[in-house]
Amino acid sequence: MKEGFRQSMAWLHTWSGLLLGWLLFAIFLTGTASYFREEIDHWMRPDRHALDARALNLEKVVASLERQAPDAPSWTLTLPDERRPVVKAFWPGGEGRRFGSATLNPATGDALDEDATRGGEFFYAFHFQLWHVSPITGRIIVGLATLSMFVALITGIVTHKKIFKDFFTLRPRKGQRSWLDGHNVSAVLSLPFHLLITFSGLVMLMHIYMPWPGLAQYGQKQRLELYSELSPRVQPIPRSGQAAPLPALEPLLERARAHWNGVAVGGLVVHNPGDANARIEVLGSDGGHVSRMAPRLVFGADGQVLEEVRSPATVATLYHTLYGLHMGRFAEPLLRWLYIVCGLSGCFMIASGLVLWVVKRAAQSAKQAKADAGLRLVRALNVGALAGLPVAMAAYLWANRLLPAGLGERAAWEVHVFFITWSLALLHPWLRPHKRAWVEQLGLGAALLGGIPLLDLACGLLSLPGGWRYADWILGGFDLACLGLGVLLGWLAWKVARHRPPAKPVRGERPAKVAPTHRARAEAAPADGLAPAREIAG
Amino acid sequence: MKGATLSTRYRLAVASRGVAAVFAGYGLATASGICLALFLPMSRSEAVLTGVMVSFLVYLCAVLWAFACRTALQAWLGIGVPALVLGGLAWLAKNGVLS
Amino acid sequence: MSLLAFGLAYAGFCGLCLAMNRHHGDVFGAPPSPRRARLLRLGGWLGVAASWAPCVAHHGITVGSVLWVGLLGAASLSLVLLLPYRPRLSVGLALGMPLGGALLLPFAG
Repeated sequence: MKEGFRQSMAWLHTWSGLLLGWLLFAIFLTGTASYFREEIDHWMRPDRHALDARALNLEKVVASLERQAPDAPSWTLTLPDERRPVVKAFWPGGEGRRFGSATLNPATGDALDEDATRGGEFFYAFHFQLWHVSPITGRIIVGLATLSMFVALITGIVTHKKIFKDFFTLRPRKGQRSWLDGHNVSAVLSLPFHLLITFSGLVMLMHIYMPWPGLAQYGQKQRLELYSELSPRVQPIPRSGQAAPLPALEPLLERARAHWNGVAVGGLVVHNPGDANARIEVLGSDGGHVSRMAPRLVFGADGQVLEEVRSPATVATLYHTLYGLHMGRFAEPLLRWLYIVCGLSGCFMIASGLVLWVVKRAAQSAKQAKADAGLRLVRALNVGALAGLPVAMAAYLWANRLLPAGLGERAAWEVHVFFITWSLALLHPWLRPHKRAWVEQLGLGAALLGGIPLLDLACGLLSLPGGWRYADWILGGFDLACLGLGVLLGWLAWKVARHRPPAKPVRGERPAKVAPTHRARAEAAPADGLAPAREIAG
Repeated sequence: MKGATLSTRYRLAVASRGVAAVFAGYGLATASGICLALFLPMSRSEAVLTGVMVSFLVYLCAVLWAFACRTALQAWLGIGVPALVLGGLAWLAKNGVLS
Repeated sequence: MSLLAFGLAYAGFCGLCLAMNRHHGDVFGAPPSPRRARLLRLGGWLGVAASWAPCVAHHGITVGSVLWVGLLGAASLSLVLLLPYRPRLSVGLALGMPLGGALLLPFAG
């Protein structure tokens, strides 16, 4: 810090990235998986595989809710779509809880089993509030990690002098130099995504991270009014006490669609069901708009349009847009996959940063020829956190298929399998040589993920796409994606296994080539004025 | 700072900067967020939201400052003084002195 | 539509990339002449900017712009990953992909 601005920023970059880097990686990877949480959820619930979103029968759904929650002041329904063929319903009240909820078969309105598995919700919840700690504690820890990510990103930009000059530069098989290139490329090319995710991550949980401005303005008692002002909603209307049947819902949805020029309907809220003062609020789907706030249209009990809920004010719109961008609910398949690419490149950025620390530190301590406890620790954590987490996530999927059907608390055991596997993966590198540990864990991850289609085959759940709609491809696509990730991990394992550290480079001399000759052309291309031998330390 | 042995003095200075960054920085972020929420000429929800979003940026800058300035004392002064000033302003406003 | 946008973005980045001495040297063996570098840079920026149009035309201004940013990331990433291994191919694709995208346009939904 006496060395000038850039050096002190480089120092801060290193340590803010290292300190919570493993946690950040876990947050990023589970968060990335959460972009497919509906698909993961669907895959993990075989009892729902045969459902079809197009078979929606609103009359039966409403009849089912009238049985399950006759006295609720309102029902909120999320309609099925191509990603999730079920109706989600929830309502205030219920037995001893603030909210009751149910997942319904769209065709019959029958309640489906919700507790069979945590499904994709587990990764989703883990990525912002962890597990086995109270949600508030978890969110604060995640917030600190987010802040350190923010600091690492900004200091990284400040430190990286040639951000545009190096924009396209990737020099493979040059040890530390290649890791640095990979780190830069994965950071710079998805920088808008990384900044967005980090900043919006803080803003989305502002009621925990920065409640004080709201409290100063609203006071403790009225603090929740902030959120109703941010998200305009239908004014509550008292029940009249006169029973009245609900109007047919299907025509209302049709009129809302027409009103919005074809925007699909995503859900509806029935206020005061069964009363003459009922209101039916129809919500637009998540597609077509980035902001989290869908368009809404309110109908009365007689089926007439009463009001269109106004859109929020300027800064609130910015808030809802950040929120919507982070969640990516609006993303159709191509954009959803781009989200995945950006998320994975974020994971690679964090992972390569952590590996880079080891590569640099190993070069230093090799020079000084002394045991380095810090290096040992970081190495072990790198293997267990970077390679171990995909293994644990894959084990969670395997547990979903293999745990005995009659097991008590089966859903909880799936999560236990995840944490037990991850704990073992964190222990394993202490018992094995560093390189073997990498190869073994990456290889295991490759086998588990690549084996998912076989597992499905063995369980009789392999589902081949029956058409070209998105819904036809969820299960097959899930298997294919797992296979692809398995191949990726296998390739990484193979690369690590084949890796020979270059013979001790002598200053000023090119080290012996280890790369196969057919790639020599790219390698032989003259790099810029960098002295290569000095750069190859790993 | 990559030397084989780091002096205790150096370690203490880094720790002190870290505390300044994380805790005093949060204090400064809070104070500036409250001031914006109270003084911005917008509807109150908009002002609060702006205050919150800006406060995260203030926090970021405070962390950068804590490690960019020359001495640990400067880190504390650079974060603590504006935090106290803004905090004082917010206190005065809440207690009806400024209005 | 998306392929056209991706192709334009990819070609644009390829132009920007080749305008740099190091990368032009990697592909063609010599740094570009100043005139050529300027043309490549101009064409590159034009390609990147033009890729915005198909995104927005098909997906609307908000979602289209988000998609555009995502496609820019994916296009530059594929260029960067391809360039050190198959430099010639990566440049050939810059010519082929926008063309292919344009040809497929009548079949796009």
